[in-house]
Amino acid sequence: NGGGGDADDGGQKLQFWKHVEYIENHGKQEDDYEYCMTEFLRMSGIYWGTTALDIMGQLERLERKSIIEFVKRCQCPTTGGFAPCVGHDPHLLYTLSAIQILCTYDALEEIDREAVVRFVVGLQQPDGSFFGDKWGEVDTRFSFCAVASLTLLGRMEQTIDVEKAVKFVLSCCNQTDGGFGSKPGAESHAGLIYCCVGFFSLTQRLHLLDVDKLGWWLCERQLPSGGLNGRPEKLPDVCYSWWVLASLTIMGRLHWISSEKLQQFILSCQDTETGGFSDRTGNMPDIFHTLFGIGGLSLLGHSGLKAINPTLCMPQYIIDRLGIKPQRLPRP
Amino acid sequence: EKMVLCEKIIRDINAVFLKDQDLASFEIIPKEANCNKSPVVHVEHNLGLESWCAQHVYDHAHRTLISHRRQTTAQQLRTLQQQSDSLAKYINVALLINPDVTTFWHIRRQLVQKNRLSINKELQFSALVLSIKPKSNEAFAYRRWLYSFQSADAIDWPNEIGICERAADRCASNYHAWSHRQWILQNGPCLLQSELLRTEKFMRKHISDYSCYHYRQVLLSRAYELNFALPNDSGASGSPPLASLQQLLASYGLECEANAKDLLALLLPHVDLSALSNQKLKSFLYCCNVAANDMRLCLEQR
Amino acid sequence: MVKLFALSIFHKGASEARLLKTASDLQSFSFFQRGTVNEFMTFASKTIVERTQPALRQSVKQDAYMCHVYVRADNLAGVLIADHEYPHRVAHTLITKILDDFTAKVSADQWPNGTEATISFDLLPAFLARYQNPVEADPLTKMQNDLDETKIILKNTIEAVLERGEKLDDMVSKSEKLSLQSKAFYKTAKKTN
Ligand SMILES: CC(C)=CCC/C(C)=C/CC/C(C)=C/CC/C(C)=C/COP(=O)(O)OP(=O)(O)O
Repeated sequence: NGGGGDADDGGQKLQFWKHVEYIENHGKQEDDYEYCMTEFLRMSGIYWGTTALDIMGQLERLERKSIIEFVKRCQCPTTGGFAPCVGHDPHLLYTLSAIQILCTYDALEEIDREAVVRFVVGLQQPDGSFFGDKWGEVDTRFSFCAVASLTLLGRMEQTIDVEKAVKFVLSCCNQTDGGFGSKPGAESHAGLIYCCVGFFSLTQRLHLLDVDKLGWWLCERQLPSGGLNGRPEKLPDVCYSWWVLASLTIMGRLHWISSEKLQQFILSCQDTETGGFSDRTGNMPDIFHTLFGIGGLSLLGHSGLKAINPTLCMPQYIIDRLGIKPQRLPRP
Repeated sequence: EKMVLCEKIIRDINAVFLKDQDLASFEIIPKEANCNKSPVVHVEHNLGLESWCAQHVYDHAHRTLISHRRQTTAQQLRTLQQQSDSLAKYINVALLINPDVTTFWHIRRQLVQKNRLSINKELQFSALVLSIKPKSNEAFAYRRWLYSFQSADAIDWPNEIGICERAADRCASNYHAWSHRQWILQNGPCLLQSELLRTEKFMRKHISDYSCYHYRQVLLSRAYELNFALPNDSGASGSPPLASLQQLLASYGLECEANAKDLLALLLPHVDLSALSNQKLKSFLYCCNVAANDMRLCLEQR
Repeated sequence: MVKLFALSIFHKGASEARLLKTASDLQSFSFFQRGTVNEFMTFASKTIVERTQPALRQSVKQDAYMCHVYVRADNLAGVLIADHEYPHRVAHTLITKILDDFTAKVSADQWPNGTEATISFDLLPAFLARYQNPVEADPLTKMQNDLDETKIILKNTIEAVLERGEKLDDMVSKSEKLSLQSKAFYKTAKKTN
């Protein structure tokens, strides 16, 4: 594994080891207030941390065994879905994170996979959409989580109604900009565009996208600072370097934005003292933005980082190991 | 000792809840140290909690709720019912400080289903959460869920629009507030006309709020779908309501008489107008005109 | 958002600026913040007036706010605090107009020793309400063609207005006008930033 702060751009260098240390220490402050406040998304937090470390070739720094134990304890015995933490309720969001963690550790056999499949299938609605959990909120995020979970489990065949699921996601497309929102008619948003483009990539239906229109909207997200925002008139944020960049990569249009300027922006959001990335230059770092900072740099081909899969936001070698081939459009 | 203090603070907050039926806002007041006064401040239907204790109080409420949940097995659900009244005060405080915890909202849903919490009070509580976190999707989703138990004509729709508007006013491009407003548009009575007027006002004050522009687009496409046009907009000949459209066309160098027929011929040159319903064409022109008006407004405000 | 928060009138004396009249609309702030925000707006306004030369206009950016200041040659000063989207030209035209109206109603001999209590001039709240919508000011800006926008000095923070050696943090902690509560607020807000 490479690494070291040998960045080749003119601006800041990647603080490789600081970030490794930041992620490694992240789960250790259990008495921390921040830790308590973020308990409700712990499962995703672990996914963000393990994925970032794996991309940096440092996965062995975390304790595989205790993480797998944690994930197993979070599977709900009645529904089969995963909760973010023991004591919380199962949800599609944390189910995907749990499956992603287990794939990274090659440990899918440790859980009851059929129960997960039943959980996901049970959340699909007659119109093809998905509830996030039994309480009935619908969102394109959940469509993505459902197909991503099933794909990773190798169970896309004969489970959900893919045609209807596709139809629902298409109904969330805005004709004016080619983008997608959380529900039919809702405003286009880069995070949700990632979910929908990822959804079509997993269901092998990228031809349904208006690539030129959507690609245009996505590259308009780059601001003079080099950073990307998620919607018009909003501030740039490191996490959008993932949502936008991954979408463009899947569509074969990564070259439509300025890589150098984006890389500079991402690097400017590192905390050079504590390690970790923040949403914008000068703010407090967190584990969420750290993954998307590292992930964005990996998509841009930064040296010392492993390749990341743009559809599933996991190291490419794991996707290869699983034999999964999310669709990607060639660069025209 | 810390636990005793937290219990007392949670009791104090609960007392405010019981006493004041019209609480309008909650906030955390920055204050670094305990000055031996109660950190719970209640003034004119506004509730404040001093920041120095928020962490401890949250930590305590959170632990109480989660440990309770971990212990509750299926058979013990009945005790949950008995304890629910004492649980409520912890859930209130926990959600006011950390509105993102889906599981806590779910506990409320379960209590509502068991008739332990009243729908009206819950609507009020979620509005209070929106006063401290106007972007809370959990709070909006909870409101939609609560309304699923009420018939459409029992719902105070204008109040619901007001809640969206306040949330949108406090946070620019508030995604979930505007999505919730679309949900109202789809489920409530026909609000097209009042919404067109209201959002124009809003746009004048929030010229960079792209979410509002998106909502306007939705309004207009819905208006067109429903063949909607304002009654005074006769579209007959050169009536002033089409002025914005005309102006816009003129700025593109497309001079045209201000009558509906000419405008239509210019905009839809290949369409056989006689084959289309009159009402549809009227609505089409009306929507184009509003859109042109919006474009003019944007230019003016820049 | 196009928003007007506060209007105030000062007299710039030899050593300090006196507040003669002020009005604010703080509805968009949460309830318990309003008192503190009001104190800070007055503090910032006074500070900038004191550091603006007579016959000069300045527009000073501080976080989400723009503080527009005009000190006339006769030392009467007007301050308008708005957000970034409130048009600068409108802001300065408005200040000119307010100072003109004030001069017409309150004679100059009352300025040097005046206070909010002794000066009778009640128009600020009405101005504040009316010009929340900058389009209202349109006819006004068209009339005042003599306002040369290029002469407005733009500053990026209050720090940039301060004299050499002055620091905002020190001024905040030394200020007698700011309550303890507000000082605590300032510190906490800075930390979480
Ligand atoms: C496998 C990975 C990486 C993700 C799983 C799939 C999910 C859950 C993606 C989430 C995508 C995302 C960021 C959606 C945004 C949802 C939304 C409408 C947010 C609006 O909230 P604001 O707080 O207003 O955010 P902005 O201000 O940034 O727009």
